[in-house]
Amino acid sequence: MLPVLNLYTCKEAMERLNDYVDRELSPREMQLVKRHLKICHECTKRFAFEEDVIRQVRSKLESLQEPEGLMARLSQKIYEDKGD
Amino acid sequence: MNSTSTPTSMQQQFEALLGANLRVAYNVARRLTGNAEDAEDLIQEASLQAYRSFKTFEQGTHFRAWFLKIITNLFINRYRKKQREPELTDLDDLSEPTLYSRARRSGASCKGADPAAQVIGKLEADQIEATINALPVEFRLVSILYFVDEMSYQEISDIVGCPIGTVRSRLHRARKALQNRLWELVEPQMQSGLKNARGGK
Repeated sequence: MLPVLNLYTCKEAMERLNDYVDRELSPREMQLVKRHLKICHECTKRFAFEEDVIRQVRSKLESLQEPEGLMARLSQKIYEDKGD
Repeated sequence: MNSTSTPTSMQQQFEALLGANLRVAYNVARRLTGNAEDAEDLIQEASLQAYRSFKTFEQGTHFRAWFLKIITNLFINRYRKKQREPELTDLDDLSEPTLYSRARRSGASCKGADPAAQVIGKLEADQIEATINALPVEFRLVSILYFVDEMSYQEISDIVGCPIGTVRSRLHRARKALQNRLWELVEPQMQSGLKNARGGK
């Protein structure tokens, strides 16, 4: 009979670090990781760091404004391409 | 598409969808190509191709994903040939210490509540962009969709046409490589800051 796993070890939690921060784990795995983080200060710091790095990188990559008049140029190209 | 649409109304419908998604598309194209001129060329080519096949586009489906897929396919097929790509094997060794462990050793995690901000905050946006652009194209592509458009693994998988497991693996490797390379950029500043802090005591 398989043991009932109610807690992850640090190793098991760390194996799920990337999927956890990307919210790509199953609900059950998310719950188990969260449960581990509640009792493990070291893993909590590690997970928070990973999430912060992603947030920091995203905030640095600000949305670029498309060049002025791009939509009008595209519209004209489409019109010409249609042969109208 | 509605088969009763006149060509003019079809163009209007297409342009309404394109206009609503142009900012995201331009950001992806700009980061894929690395410069404004090639990005506009890529968007233009993708727009023409998308419009030509707009009759096959199913109303109610995700225009943004459909259009980004055209952009990424075009980029891989055409623009990539012009660029010298790093080999996949160039990607950093995953056994290297993590950014977290390096930041901790440097003392960053002890000095404030937000150690990631202490590290990434020292970098300029163009340094981060250049680091992503230096990744091999398969890794760059998933990174751009992930960081710029905050897409899920499934959305990225639909766009790049790879199994979700491949997306996951590439993204995790790309993130690790990105962190390692960003650390190389910021390490001299971290060490210099640490020396100053010690000297000041």
